[in-house]
Amino acid sequence: MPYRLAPASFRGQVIAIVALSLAVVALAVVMVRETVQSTQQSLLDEAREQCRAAARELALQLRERQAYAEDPLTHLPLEAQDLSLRGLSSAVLRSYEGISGGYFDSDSGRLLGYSFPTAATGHAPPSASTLRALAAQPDSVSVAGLTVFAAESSEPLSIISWTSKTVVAVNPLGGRLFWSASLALAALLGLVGVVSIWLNLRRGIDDVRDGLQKLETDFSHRLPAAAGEFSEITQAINQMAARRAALDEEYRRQDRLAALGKVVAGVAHEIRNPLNSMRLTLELLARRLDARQVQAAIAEVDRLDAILSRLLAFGRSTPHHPLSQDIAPLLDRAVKMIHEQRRQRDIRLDLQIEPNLKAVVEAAGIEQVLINLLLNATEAAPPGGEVKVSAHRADDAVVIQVADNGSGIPAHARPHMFDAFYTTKPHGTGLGLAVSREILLRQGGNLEFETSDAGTTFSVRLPAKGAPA
Amino acid sequence: MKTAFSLLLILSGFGSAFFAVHAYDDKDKKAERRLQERTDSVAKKLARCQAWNTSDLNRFLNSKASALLERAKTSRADHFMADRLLRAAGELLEASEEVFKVSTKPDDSAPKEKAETARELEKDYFRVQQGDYFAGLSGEADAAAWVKHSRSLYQQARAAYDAGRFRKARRLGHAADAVIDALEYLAQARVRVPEPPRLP
Repeated sequence: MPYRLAPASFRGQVIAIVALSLAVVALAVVMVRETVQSTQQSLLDEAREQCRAAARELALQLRERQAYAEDPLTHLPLEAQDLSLRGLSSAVLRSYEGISGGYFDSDSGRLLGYSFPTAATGHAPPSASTLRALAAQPDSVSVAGLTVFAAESSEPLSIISWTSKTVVAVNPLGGRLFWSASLALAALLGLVGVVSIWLNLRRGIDDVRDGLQKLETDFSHRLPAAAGEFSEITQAINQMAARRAALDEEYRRQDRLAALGKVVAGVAHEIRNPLNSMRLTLELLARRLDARQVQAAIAEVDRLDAILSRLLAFGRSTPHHPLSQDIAPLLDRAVKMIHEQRRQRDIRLDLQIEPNLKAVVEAAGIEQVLINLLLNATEAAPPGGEVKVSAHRADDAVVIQVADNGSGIPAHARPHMFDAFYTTKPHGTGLGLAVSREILLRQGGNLEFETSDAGTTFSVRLPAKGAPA
Repeated sequence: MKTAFSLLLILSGFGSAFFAVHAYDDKDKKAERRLQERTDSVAKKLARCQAWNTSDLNRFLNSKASALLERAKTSRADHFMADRLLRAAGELLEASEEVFKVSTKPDDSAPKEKAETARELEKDYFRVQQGDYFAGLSGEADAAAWVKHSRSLYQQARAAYDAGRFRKARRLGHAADAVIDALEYLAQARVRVPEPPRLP
């Protein structure tokens, strides 16, 4: 048994696809989450460094100011201290995007020199408890949620320098609820999609199975039109059924013909012997009695014999030996054979034969076919009408066409034109076309016709080379 | 005995009150005296600088200092304000003096002064950066011109530093710094900044 990567059953494949899809979605969610957390952490780390640097610079500038100013800050009232320190912090923090900060006098518990020069909108300083906590742990950096705080002592002063930055939440699409809802929706859509595909395929498979079951007993049944890939399958099955129905019909026809041929051959053989005796007797009588009346009886016996010959030819399935034959002499002989009938109806003959045309056939059978077709055309054409005969090469075949300018074959008769014993002529036997087609089929050829109100054209197709099929 | 003790207590109470009032009077007088000394000092310096009205900038600085001195004299009731105004005037005269010295004193800088000059210019630069903030609070109608002069002085200082004239650079940088100091004093004097909030 060959190794299979996927489950063999369709249901198993669907389950596998669903499971894989869910796994991929889950993996994607985990990866996005990891990326978001990593990015958030990077932003926090960067903010820690910036806050630490800003707090140090605030402390440095305060010490410088205290050391070099003629009027030390600590000697000023708190209002003036706040004003001057605000000037200091705004100048320092201008270089630090998104960072607010200032000073905190741990002795008086006052916030001094608070500024946020890069803020676009309103802002507020941290709460007193936060600042007290910062003052309790100078020279440190702390993080509360997405906000980073840094504190730096300004010894020997009791003023603490502090800075703060709130980083942007890397959560552009709304957080856990969004991801949960997205995951659920994606899973639901995936599930609906897969189930929908599964149901469609199941329905298609059911239709094909039901159709094939009906076709087992009824070749005329056709599968209903399907959508998508199943339309190709149903079309192929319908075409196969049509071909099989045609083949089946052909086999039945062959069977009927074979059975009929056996019966006809037997009957003809049984009739022919007494008919020969009758003819001999009639010839004997003709010498003794009135020859004219007897000759008429002999003619009728000859006609019966001719009919029997055709019947025998129809039922015979003897092997034949095709040879490469020139088509032109065959046609010439056939045309000469019907000369009298043509003369009586004043039918013109237009004969066009491509030079050096050869077909691999048995000459006698083909000659009989051509005579049949020429006689039919002569009788179908109106008096004074015309029969056109042409022969030419077409691919690996030689095509001989016999066309009359009669009124065409009636529609109801067309399906039965090659049926044995079917005839539209008052005195026809219904064997000419059936026998002709049978002869051609046995030699690898074919016989077809086209008809309209302007006349009928029979086309004989003969193998141009090689042995017949 | 009891009466004598009571008299002693009364006398001591009067004595304490006397000394307290006397101490307050002393403190007030001290402040008044310091203010007067500063006023005199600024006035002397102004008189000295006005003799050096050698450039437009000198004249500008001297005139502003003169105006501030007059304002200080009329604001003596508010010691802090008067003190701030006098200090502002003093800073402007300091700047004026530095500007004058730059144009008159020879610059015999030594290369070893380079590092010290760089450090001072760094501080001056940071100070000039605060100019706009204090200008906005100073209440001076032409405070923007003060800041402009300060920046110009710093740029000249920087150019002098690049040229190796370190003493000149320090003087100009100091002048730029002093103008901003004056603005800060004016802001402290004028703006009644509300007390920082008492933390809850």
